[in-house]
Amino acid sequence: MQRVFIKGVKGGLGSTSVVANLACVLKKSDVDVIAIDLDAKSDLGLHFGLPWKYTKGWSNEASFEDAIAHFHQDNDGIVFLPFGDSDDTSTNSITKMVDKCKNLNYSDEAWVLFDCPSHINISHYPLEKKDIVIELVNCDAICHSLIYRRLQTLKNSDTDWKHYFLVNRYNSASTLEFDLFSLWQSTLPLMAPFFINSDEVIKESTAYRNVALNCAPYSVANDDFETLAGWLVSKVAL
Amino acid sequence: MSITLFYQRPIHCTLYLLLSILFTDKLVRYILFKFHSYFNQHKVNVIEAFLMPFITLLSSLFINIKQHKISFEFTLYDYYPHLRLPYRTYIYSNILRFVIQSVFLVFFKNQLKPSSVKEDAVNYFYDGVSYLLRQLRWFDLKLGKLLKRLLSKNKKGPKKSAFKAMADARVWQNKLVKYVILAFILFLLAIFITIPFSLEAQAVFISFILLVAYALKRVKGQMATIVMITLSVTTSSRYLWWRYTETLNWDDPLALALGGGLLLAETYAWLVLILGFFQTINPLERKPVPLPKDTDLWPTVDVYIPTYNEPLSVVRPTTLAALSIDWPADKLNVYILDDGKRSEFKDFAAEIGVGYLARSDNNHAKAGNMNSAMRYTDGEYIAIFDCDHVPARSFLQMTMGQFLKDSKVCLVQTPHHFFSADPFERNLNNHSQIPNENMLFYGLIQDGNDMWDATFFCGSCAVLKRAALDDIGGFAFETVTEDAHTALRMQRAGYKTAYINIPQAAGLATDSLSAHIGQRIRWARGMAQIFRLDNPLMGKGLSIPQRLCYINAMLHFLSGIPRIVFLTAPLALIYFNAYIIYAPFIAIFIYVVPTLIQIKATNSRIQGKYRYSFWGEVYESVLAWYILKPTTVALFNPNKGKFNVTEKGGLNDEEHYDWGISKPYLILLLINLLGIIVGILRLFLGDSSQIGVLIISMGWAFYNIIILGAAVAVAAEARQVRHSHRIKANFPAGVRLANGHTLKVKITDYSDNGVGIETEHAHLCRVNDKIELLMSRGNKQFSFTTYVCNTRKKQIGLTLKDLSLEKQRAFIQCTFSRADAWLDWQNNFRHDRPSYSFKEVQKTSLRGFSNLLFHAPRALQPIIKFMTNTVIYINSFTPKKPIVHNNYD
Amino acid sequence: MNNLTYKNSQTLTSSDIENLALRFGGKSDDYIEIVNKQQNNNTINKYALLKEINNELNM
Repeated sequence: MQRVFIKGVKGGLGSTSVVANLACVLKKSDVDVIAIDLDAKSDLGLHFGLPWKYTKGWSNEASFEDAIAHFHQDNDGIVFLPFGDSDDTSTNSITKMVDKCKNLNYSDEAWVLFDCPSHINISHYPLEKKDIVIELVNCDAICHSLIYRRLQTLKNSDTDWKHYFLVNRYNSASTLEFDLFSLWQSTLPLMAPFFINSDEVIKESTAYRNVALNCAPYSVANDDFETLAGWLVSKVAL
Repeated sequence: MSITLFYQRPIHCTLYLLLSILFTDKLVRYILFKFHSYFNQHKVNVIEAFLMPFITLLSSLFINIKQHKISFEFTLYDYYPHLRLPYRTYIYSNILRFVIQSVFLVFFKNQLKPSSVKEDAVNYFYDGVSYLLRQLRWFDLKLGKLLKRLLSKNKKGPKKSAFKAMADARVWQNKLVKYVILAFILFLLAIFITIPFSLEAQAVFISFILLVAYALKRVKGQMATIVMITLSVTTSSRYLWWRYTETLNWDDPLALALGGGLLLAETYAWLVLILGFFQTINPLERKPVPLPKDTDLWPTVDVYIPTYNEPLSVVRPTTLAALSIDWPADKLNVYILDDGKRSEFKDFAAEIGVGYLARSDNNHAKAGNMNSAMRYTDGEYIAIFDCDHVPARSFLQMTMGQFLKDSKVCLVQTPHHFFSADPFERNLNNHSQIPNENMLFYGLIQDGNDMWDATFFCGSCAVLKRAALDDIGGFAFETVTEDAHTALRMQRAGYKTAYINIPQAAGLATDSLSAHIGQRIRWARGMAQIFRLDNPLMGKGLSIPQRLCYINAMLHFLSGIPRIVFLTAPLALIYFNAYIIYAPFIAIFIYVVPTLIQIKATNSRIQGKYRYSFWGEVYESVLAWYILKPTTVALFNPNKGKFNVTEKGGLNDEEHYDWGISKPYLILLLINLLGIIVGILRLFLGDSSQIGVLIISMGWAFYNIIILGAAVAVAAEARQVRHSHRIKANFPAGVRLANGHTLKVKITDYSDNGVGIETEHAHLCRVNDKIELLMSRGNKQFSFTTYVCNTRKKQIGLTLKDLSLEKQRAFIQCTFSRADAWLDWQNNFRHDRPSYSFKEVQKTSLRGFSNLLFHAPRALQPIIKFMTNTVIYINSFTPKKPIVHNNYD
Repeated sequence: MNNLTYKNSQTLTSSDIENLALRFGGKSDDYIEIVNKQQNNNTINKYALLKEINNELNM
């Protein structure tokens, strides 16, 4: 199983949407895709069309076997596990869940995507060498500052996973965003060479209880997610 | 019939009453109905409209109309097809037509009954012939495939070119062996060329060669090409030898003089042919060399953009693109060299941050301009772009590697590609359907030159080594083609040159035929000057292949006189009865025709992607008269004649015919046409022994007429509607609509202030909507504010208004400067097929003739209209064949 | 997984350099996209926060 951890460098950058859309694109090549919600907001399910009345998730169960009973499957065949509405949102329980997910029984080609909360430092998770971490950023100065702070902590950590930054909601018409991204492209080693364009359809699709790919197959954002998926595949092969 | 009706329509009722005396009520109603119909609807005049129903009634006496009404009408028009519109309502003339056609039908039996025996026999005959043809075609296909399989190289073999394989073979290493083998080959060739064959032997020999050529038709690969070339060399040399030894009539001084002229022209053509084979036998197809990863090792480059009187709108994109070339900013310097000394250029240069150089005089035109600029710049290399040649961003990275790999290289040249149609394409309306004139040179010939290290500088889209220029004293300015001369000098000084056959810049073609011809005159004069002042055949520093390549380039421009000779040669026999080829008709037929076919086949094979058969003759004919004088003058006195600059960027605002330019073609056309007429007269009235040669001469004259007709067609200047040229493209982009949604689109065309896009399915944009266009340069995305100016179901036209300088630059980078912008320059063309190409030339020729009539000067227009109308009218009386319906109607 | 191994060339990020390399040989990796250092410096100097971060890092 290939694990991909997606979190925002701060909150509200659209990481859940990215997980949902990425899952949809990966699913097109007919492999198993599993999405696990680690965020207490527990909104990943809504992206996959989970009925609003289902509020329970893995956090409501003590044992792993009971937790995985909360797996749902959406129309495209993606298997997802909501967080639930438990009060226990501690880092510890989340980390333990990540660990236990190693026991899921899927093939080597399967993708497991984790929707991570932005406030938990990634180094708390039991990451391994072949895990991929994508930190979402927007093109603004606060994210710029956060990126550099992150780079400093990354330098000091000793674990060895593939860490990348990815720009989300990119709008090249904005001078600041354009300038910042040019700067990042050429100076930041971990910046992904592409971005997810700002597209209304990503917002709209959740209102339609669907993902952008299904709502607007001719959008640019769709292409961006395909680029993301292809890039991930190439990183896995490394 | 009431009284009120009587008052409302008095005439109608009077007629009604009158007719009722003679006819029944139904008939009267019919007559009046028909009368009204003809009079009101078909606008026939009164008398005819009144007569028509009576005629119908009359004929109904003989034929039972009522029963077979519909089929009667059909049958009527089958037998009398020309009675239909537009003459249907011209009753008097129709009567005449009716009578003539009836006579025709009665006396000339036409097979309308399908079951006549004769008809069946004819049908069988035609069926049989077409069946035979079908079988032949199938046979031809199978045979071709078999030969292809037998003769094609093994796919798994090494990819090395056959020529290189031969050239590198071990057997050449020993000098003695090399010379012996060469001598032997030459000996063999000499024998084949000079041995006199009887006519039968020659026929057998030539058919054998044609058979081999046929066998190799579908075989790809260079080995087959080399075989074809060898055969062509043999046959053409043999032909020439035969001409020299057996076909000169020493007794008749007029024939001797004219025949000698033709022979010299043929020798010229043979020489150009042989040299051409040599030049293009193995195009080098040099690949770009990658640069070192460390950009600190990259050299400094100055980009020169010389300009004289071109408008700023033309120079602007070039300069912006030059600034955006992917090269370290501190090692790239762009300069506008303005010989027009215009302040707006100076301001523009300051605004975007490029250098501006102007000198106090204007001596030696472009060469002098660049020499003067060299005093103020110091880059290690100089890249030169004509002010309308927009470079791609990858230009330097594709070319500079050659310099770093081999320090003796002093020049890297890239193709001149045009994004606008040249006068031939525009006036003949075949842009992107037929390879244009300069594609042969840049696609094939320069690549062939590169093999022999004989690439020469073409004045633009190239990079030169500063040190080499300093070595030879700067750009050469003694001739008007300073570019070729500079390259010649550098090669004499021991430097090497290179050609990269990847278009990395594109510019405007010449605007009008006169500008085009002016440009060629300059090149022709310059080449002749170089021939006189710095003859490549003599002097040191050049290898033999280099000399031959330069000579071929020069010979190409001396084609004026030979082409005129070819265009007028057959008339010598027709007008003056001078036997310019003193040989019996059958000998001429056996020697001339197969040799021509063989040569055409070989050339088509070699050049097929870059030039279609027979178009070379058209281009030459257009230029022949005009380059005659400058080259002859320059050959005798190289220093005479002035430099005339080619204009770029003008506008043809209305369609017109350039009578001035086409005078020579019209005169040649006229004398050839007269020749045909005289020839026909002589056929009937003259000596019967001369029929054979007369027919050949008339055939040749007819061929000349076709070529000249095409040349005449080119002079009809089409209207140039757009001011900014629109370039076809095919690359992906995106748009963001006002409501935040994005769409993937494809850019289908662009100009310098607009873009045409195509969406994947129907869009909902309307005119004047504001849309954000997202285009990329490499991995950077730029956003442009655009407005919709027109839409169709899946296409949208966008305009960009008031772009800032930064945005203009970005736009150029995303469109004109794309590294792959011109990659398709050769891809769209199928390989040449000579017979198809000749049909195209014929079509163009007919177009030329119709243009002449259409554009005739106003005084003549009424006459021409009258003549054409008369012919059409008379033709309408001639009996027409009745239409025979087959079972499928 | 296989049809995602090659980047879908209809995407916005399709590269003209790749097309060039595809047609004429050579590797697109050999091409060096020049960094506009001047523009980067301008960006850093224009925004105070960026400038400060830059200074701190380069200490």
